[in-house]
Amino acid sequence: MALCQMRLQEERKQWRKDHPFGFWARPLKNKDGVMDLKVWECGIPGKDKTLWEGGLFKMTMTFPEEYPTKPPKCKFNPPLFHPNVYPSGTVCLSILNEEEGWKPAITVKQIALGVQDLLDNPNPESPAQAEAYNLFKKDRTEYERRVRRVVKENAPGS
Amino acid sequence: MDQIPQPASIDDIENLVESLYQPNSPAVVSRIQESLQRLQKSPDGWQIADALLARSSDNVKFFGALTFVVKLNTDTIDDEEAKLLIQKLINWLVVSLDNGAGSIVIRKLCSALVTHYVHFSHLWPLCIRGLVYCLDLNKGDVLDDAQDAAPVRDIFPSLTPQKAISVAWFAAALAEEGEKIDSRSSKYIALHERLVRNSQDVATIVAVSLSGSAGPRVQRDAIDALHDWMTYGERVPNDQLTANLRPLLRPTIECLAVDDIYEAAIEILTDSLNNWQNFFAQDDYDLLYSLFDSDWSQKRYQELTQGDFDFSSVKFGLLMIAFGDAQITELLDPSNERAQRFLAGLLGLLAAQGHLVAEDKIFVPALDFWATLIESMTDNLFSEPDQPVNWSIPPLSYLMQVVSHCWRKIQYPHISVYNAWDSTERVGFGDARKDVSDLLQTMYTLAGESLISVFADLTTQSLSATSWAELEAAAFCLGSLSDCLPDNDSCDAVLSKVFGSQLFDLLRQGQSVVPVRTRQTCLSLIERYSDYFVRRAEFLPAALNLLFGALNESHLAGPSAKSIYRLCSSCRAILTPEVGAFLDQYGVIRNSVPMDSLTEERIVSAIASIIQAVPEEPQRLGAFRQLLVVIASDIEKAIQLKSMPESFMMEPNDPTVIQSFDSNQRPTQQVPGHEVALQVAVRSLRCLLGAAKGLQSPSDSPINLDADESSMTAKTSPELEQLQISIMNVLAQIKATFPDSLQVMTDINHVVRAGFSETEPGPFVFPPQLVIDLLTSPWHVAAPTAVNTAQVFLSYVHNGNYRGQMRQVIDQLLPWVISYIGMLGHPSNDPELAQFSIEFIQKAIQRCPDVLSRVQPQSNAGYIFTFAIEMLNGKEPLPKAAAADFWTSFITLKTDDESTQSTITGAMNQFGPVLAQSLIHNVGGNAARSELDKLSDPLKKLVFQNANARQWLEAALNDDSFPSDKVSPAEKALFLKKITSLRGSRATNQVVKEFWVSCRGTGLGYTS
Repeated sequence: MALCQMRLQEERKQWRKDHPFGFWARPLKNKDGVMDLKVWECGIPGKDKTLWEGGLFKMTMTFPEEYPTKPPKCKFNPPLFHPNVYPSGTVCLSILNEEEGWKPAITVKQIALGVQDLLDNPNPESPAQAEAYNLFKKDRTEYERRVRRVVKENAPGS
Repeated sequence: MDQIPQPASIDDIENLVESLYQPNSPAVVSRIQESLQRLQKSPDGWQIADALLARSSDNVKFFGALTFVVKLNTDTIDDEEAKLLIQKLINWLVVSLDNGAGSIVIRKLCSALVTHYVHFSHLWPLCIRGLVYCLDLNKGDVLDDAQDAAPVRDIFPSLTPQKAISVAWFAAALAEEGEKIDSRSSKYIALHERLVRNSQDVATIVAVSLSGSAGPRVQRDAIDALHDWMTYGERVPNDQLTANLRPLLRPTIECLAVDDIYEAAIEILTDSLNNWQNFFAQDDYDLLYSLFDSDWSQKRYQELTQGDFDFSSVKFGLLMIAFGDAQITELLDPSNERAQRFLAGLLGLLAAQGHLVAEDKIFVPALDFWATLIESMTDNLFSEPDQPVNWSIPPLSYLMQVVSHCWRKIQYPHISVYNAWDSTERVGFGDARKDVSDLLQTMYTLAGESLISVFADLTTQSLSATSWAELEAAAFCLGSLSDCLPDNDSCDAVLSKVFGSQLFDLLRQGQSVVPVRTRQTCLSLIERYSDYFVRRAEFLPAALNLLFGALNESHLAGPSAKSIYRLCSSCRAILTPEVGAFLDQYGVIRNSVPMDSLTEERIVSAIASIIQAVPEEPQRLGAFRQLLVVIASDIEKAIQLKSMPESFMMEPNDPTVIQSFDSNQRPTQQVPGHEVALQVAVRSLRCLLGAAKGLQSPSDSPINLDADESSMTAKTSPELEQLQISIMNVLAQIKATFPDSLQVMTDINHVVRAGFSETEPGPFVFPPQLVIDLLTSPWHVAAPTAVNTAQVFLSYVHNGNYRGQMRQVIDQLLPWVISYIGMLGHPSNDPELAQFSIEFIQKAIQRCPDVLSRVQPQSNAGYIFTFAIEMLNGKEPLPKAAAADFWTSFITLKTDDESTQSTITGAMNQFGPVLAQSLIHNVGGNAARSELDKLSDPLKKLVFQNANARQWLEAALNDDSFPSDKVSPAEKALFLKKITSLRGSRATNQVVKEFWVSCRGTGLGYTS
């Protein structure tokens, strides 16, 4: 079996055994109901005691054939109002960048936690969308109001 | 801070060590540690270590042993000295054991011996045997005779328990240390080989300890040592080692029944089953099977399933699960009776007594096992489709029991129990429910529609029995499966059992009858199965009535509004005859129930989506006008309130106040009228935006490929035009009234943009002139947002039916954008405005290259280029990327019009040198690494397109202003040669990155 598939099976096993509270992640299923291990859908909860608390944000992780040599691509669906999320929804995070912090040892759990951490700790060094980035820098009150709105729109059961 | 005086005698050192254990401030502690560390590293360290071990205090002895470890790791000693040192350390061990020194001393001495072995394993390769022999004779200097002595199995049994334990500790520390040492490094190959040779002796001492009468402590420590050696063996695989350790499994399994060593034994077995299944031979598995059949095991199992969730009880369950994971293949075999009997036990773990997570700690791991098993079943089914599938015998027959157990487990307890849980337990409970829905989805692949039937039946049964917790759980499970269903009506009959039952009637009776959580879960079923309601419209009115009714309840309003939106949007075509009723209903609710802004926005969106589907234009526009009147009247109200004096205050119980604030933000005291005005304005705008989104064509609607360009203008009726003007007037009014609210301005822009995605005419699909008029009016705080709208607008005009008006659009908007740039002065004064402006200009010149030559005055055109260079030179990442895109477009700009082309060439020749300089400064170290790909684009185009590129780049590289002194002229020349010979190909990016790293200096490259 390809390295990518083997690793993903192990990731799936590990995730089921031990995943952080409030998160969910599972491979998508194709038409026959068979799992496609290379595309996972997951829910990233906003961290408690932060502006993002109460929101659960849907994200897909797409693993390339070269995984784990290359990192998966993480994309919020729908795109998220956040300085480090591209207008397309793709997350800009150093550990997800092959040329920066990505290491084959990084697990799905670490990615999920890394993205959760990014929510409340945007990295002003690598902005990905103008709207959230500029509000974050110039008008924190309006930024926070927008975040609260996004959280409300993405609250589970709302 | 005061230095601690350097101790002058061993007594002083002893005092200092003791003072480390006294209560002291962190600063003092760290000063003492520094002082002691200086001593350890001093040449006298060896003598100090020796002297301290002779003292009576355990703390001081410990420090002595530690000092030996430090010296061994830091000093260089020759083999002769090292040989003496082993004897000395063993002597200290003998003496300390004799004196009854504490375990911290003995363990530290063992680790000193291990450290010694890591450095000098060649001096006493068979260290276990050596240590056993010396301990037996109570002296260290007989080590050399150990190899000729009797085998370990003969000497070890005669050691005292304390000595036997210290050997086990030494063995454990040896494996622990060995595991940390890189097995592939040539420096340590010999060490690992010697460790393997020792494994035979380790196996002997463990075997003797386990079988002997030395007592549980010796047995426990022997098992711990074995655990460390197995971890080592798993990490550094070796056949000899495995063969030596494997015979120990059987006695370890037998230790399970001994209470005092049960935990150590179960830990090691569970760990190895989880991580090193190959270590177990068939015999071992057979023994475990019979163990699980034993009375001892049955008793443990019963205690666990009857609700004993103590640590050691749960451990038993985890061992079963680990064993199950290791036996998946056997468990999948229906003919393997023994395995099926064991599997029945794993089934029972899902039904232990006690509440999930808060009490029951075994359900979640057991569920995980079953999920794995079911996935394996599915894999088998797909890989061997010809195999017979028999649902009446195990393992398949167990699956329906799994379902039933899960359904029971995820039922919410009584509210008083739930409220007593802490937040971790509640989240854990919720997570376990998600795991269950995950498992059900996996199982659907195997069980198909019969699974839907099961939960449909459970739903109706719980309903008749009025068991609300059961109903909630059944509805939750049924809801989990909604995404699995095929896109056809194959399950409709089963679902009709639920939706045609008394369910809706009961739910409508309110929370006095059905608890809120059950209502919430059941209501969410409607949303999840909205496709069903599209096919079975007869159930739709009851569902919608129910949802509208639930808007009254604060807990349910949010989710209900979301469901209403989803249902109305999916079923829009069926609902069009009822659009009037929906509008009336909206009017009624608005006046009777205070709604949160998001709830109201979703209701408006829902109704607008029905309006979108009304086939005849007059009716469609009429319905929309009704909706607009409601929103516009609110906006009118906002404007009116804003016109009141600033001192005007409103009471918290004023209906307008109640209606305009969300429930969690509603004021309890008087509130300024202007604040209420803003709230009303924002809420109305959000509703207007909701309407605009609702009116968007559904993404799956057919597109008319034959439509010609003028079709939209032709189809826009006077009524529609009038509506568009009304909306724009509303927007203009609100814009003029709240010029300082960024929130209002942003939402206005979002309303305008909502029509940009549409290809069919509609109230929000504005003709360009209306948009231009709004955009070119003053924006105060929101200029960047407006310019951003303008650049999106250009794409709308280009892609839509107004393409013919592009030139007029640009002619009107470009001077407006340029005026902003002029006011800005330098891009850094408002990077956001700068970015959107340059994005606009980029799109404008792409669409109409000649606009540049028509910019008046012409000096403005030059100003744009200078501005774009300044952006490229700046530090702001997004404007820099926008400028890079601008230049990429401009460099490749081509037109058939000769005069325009010559203007472009002229501009390129004029700005080429500064552009080249800016790019070179960026790749020469000024840019951030993440920007290099973006910046490579204009560089590649320049090299490929422009004959002067080489000369410009060369000049920039050799200019005094070049930002780095870390690259030589030769390196610069090589860089230039590489990028020019690559002729703009993709490989340029890598060359640029390497050059950037060289310019920045070492240490900045990533290891990619």
